[in-house]
Amino acid sequence: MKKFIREYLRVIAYTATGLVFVITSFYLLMNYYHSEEVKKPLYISANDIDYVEYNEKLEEISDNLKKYDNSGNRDTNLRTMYSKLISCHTVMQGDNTLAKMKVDTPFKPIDVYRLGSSFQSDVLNICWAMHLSYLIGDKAPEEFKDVAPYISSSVKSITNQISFSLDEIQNNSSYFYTTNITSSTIRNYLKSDYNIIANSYNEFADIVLGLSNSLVEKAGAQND
Amino acid sequence: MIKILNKMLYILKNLMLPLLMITTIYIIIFMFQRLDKEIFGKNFMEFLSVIAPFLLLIILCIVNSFLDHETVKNSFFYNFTSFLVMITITIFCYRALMDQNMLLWHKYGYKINFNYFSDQIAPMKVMLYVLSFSNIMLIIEGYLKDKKEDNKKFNKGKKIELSE
Repeated sequence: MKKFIREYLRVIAYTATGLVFVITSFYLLMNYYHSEEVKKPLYISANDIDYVEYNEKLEEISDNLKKYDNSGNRDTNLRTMYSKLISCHTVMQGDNTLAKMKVDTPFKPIDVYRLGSSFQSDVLNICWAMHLSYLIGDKAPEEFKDVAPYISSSVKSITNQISFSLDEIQNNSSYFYTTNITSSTIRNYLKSDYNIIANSYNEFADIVLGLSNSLVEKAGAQND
Repeated sequence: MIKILNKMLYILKNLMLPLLMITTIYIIIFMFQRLDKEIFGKNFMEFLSVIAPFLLLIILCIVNSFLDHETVKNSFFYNFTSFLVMITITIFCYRALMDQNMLLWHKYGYKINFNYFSDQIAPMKVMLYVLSFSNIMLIIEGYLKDKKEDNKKFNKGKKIELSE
């Protein structure tokens, strides 16, 4: 009887251990698979990358700012706008922005995330909130009052787009890519999120370019 | 060879267990901090529920080392599985603390992926509790082992050795 109980206990103990063996092997393999999956790079062709267009816009902004500086105009409102645009231009060329991206480089999900979060923290929080948001307030200068509503609505939509895509990229932490379809869906989202973020950079560069153009025009008009 | 491997796995498992408990406590402290939960307040039971399986297994490891019979120490399958569990929990902790490719790591500013780790708490508990259960079973099995039978086997072995 004692032997029977002993054998029986051993069977129970090894069955339980076997169960743990199955569970732990499953989690071990799934973790390995998931960690390999989340660091798979995303290849973006030179046509998709949008950074050439962005850099061209930054150059145009830089040219406009130089033109204004050479015009010798000393109007207070225009001078304020000039100094704010200079700060914006510097921020828009900072680290982790689209200006620093390279063609034919594989992007990891983390790179796309950093691109988006630096747009949020540098471009929107510093350039827009600290410098250019005065355009939509009561103290907005007369010279730029006509473009203020357009800028305001554009920035609102860009802000929403960026928050949406950053939240969506975080999907890649959802544990286990249970099927191939889940995996490819998450990767497709990543690519579309990259496009949204790169477009946001370009849209914001358009706003700053528009402001720099009107700065040069107004300075020229005043000088004439 | 298997005996040496078995001993190594047994020692490694026993060394890793308290270290992993400390790492888990570290992550849980920040997890509670983020949610404004007090560990030694009304959420103590919740905290204890995560730590209890570790404590139970540590107690059982101590008990094993004081027992005469060696059913747990000699069970290669049990030690190998326990070691695998420790490796898996190490990976859970490592990924929660270090894997920046899972983008939720960046979300809360604590440099810990809480969502991932809280997903892993349930399998961690299951594995540790079931290991403890099978450890108890093996201890009882060892306790029921017939000492006369063991002595017989031991003497038989000695006789064979002498005759050779």
